[in-house]
Amino acid sequence: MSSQSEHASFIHEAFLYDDDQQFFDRTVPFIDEGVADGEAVMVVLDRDRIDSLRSKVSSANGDVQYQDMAEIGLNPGRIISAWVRFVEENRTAGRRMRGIGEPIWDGRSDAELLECQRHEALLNVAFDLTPGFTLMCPYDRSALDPQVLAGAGRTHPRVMEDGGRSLLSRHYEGPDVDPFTGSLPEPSGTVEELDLSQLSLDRVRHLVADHATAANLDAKSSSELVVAVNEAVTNTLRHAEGIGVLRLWRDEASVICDVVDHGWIHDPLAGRLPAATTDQDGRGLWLINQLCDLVQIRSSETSTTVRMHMHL
Amino acid sequence: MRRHGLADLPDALGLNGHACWGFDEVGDLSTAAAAFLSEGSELGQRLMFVGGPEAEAMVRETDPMRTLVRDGTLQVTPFEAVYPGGRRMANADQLSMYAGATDQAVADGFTGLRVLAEVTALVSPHGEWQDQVAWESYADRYMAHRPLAALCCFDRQRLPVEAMAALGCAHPVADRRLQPMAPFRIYALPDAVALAGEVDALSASRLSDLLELTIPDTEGKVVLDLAGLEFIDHSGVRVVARHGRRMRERGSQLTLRGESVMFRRLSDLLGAET
Repeated sequence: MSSQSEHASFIHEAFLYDDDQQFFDRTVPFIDEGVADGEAVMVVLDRDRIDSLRSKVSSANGDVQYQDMAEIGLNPGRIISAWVRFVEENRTAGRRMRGIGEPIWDGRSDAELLECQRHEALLNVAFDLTPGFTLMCPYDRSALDPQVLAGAGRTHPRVMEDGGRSLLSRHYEGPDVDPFTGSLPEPSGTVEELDLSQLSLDRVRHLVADHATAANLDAKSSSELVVAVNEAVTNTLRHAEGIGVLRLWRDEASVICDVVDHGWIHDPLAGRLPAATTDQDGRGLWLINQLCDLVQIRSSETSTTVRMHMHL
Repeated sequence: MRRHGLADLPDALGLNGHACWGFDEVGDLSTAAAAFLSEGSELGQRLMFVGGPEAEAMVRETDPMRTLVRDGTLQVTPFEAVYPGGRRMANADQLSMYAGATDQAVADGFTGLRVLAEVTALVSPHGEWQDQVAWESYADRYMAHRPLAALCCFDRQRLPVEAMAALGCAHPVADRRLQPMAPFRIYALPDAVALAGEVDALSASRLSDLLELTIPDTEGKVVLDLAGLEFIDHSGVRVVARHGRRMRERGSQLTLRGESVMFRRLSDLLGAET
């Protein structure tokens, strides 16, 4: 890869591995090579993986930036802005960059998996015009559902399988994705549904706080949810004349809030780029992503739903 | 700690109380005025009224104010006598008048001075509410550590909505009916300026105006106490950060204290530029 020209395009590659051996056989040289070539390297994996990698790579500690995927990527809607920051830091210095990111792991909920796949697809949009950046996304073939693995082929232009050969993915769907398409499952159980046009913003905050308390959500998560819903409803006030619906409910794992209005989000990267690079509205969605454990946005000409989850 | 927040009545304000009240007809004021003055009597403060002719008539004709005036407990000063021609005094001059009266009250054996003020005419008809907001905040700094209490009353029919809202925000205690226009308060503590209540996208620009009027960027070192802030969204955090930056550019310094975990979190998330 070091032989590629200065203007090589963004390389986004899925890497399917069966066991730790394969994982390290591929990732360790990938990191060491990058460091040896003077590239900036960032690795976003779970803590255990990071600890193992640190002991295996020959690069000195300071050469590689390690980040905990459980922190950055618990909500996959946060991951792109971490990569954008990394790219911004290094691109101006003219450095080439490489990264490893494993957003999908065994144990992710169905809703999370759905958002992870949308995230993987959006990486192609976000870095479409970023040359000199290679991002490798490991997928654990021994643990993940075949459908998830098939998804990797659709969201990555390249796939690396056994033997370390990198191939163009035959199923790659390209960077023209609409991350807001489709609909979300209907809320289940007891759902509180409220007409936003009848509620003041401070009333909304108190209702959300009460709902979170009733569900035994911890204080930190409660205040995060209140701030997040406040941002979503602020967008409803700005773009949908305050007309919309607030839905509050819970399932076994989470407290969930929907803000539904007739706004329409056009920018596929809305909420994913760092606050400093976006306007007022982008900042609201971006904050919602930073504060919530999972965010699902669906938007069309007729309506937008922002669904915010906080784990119990 | 000074009492702060929205209130149904301006009672239990203490020796340093400072409340903002709105009225539609001067008669509406009597309940608030009575509560305010009777607390003053109990606390042993000298009672004083300053206000326009209609408010003065109300005070002279409505009990318990009427009785207080008759027995000499409540001193009535016509608006014209304090503000000839309806002219606003410079803040320092106005304060030295009230500070002198406070000192005199203490010298005369009172616990302090309590002023029922109806000063709509200082704001209307010229609509100089910004000056009044700056004055209220200026006086409030003094009141935070001296036994001067005031109930500042304004005729809502004669003031623009934003003026009433801004005045409500510039007092530690405000008439509950001013909500939701005045969801936050900027007021003085003995060693700091406090921002309390709630700030969201609907009130962030008002906060920006109020900070400019109440903490001038040339003021020097000011501590802004955020312990009483019940909610602030990112637009509010940006406003506070921006004011701090503006003060720094003018050689002043705004130090935050008592900020919540969420305030710091939003501040960090938004970054240095916020």
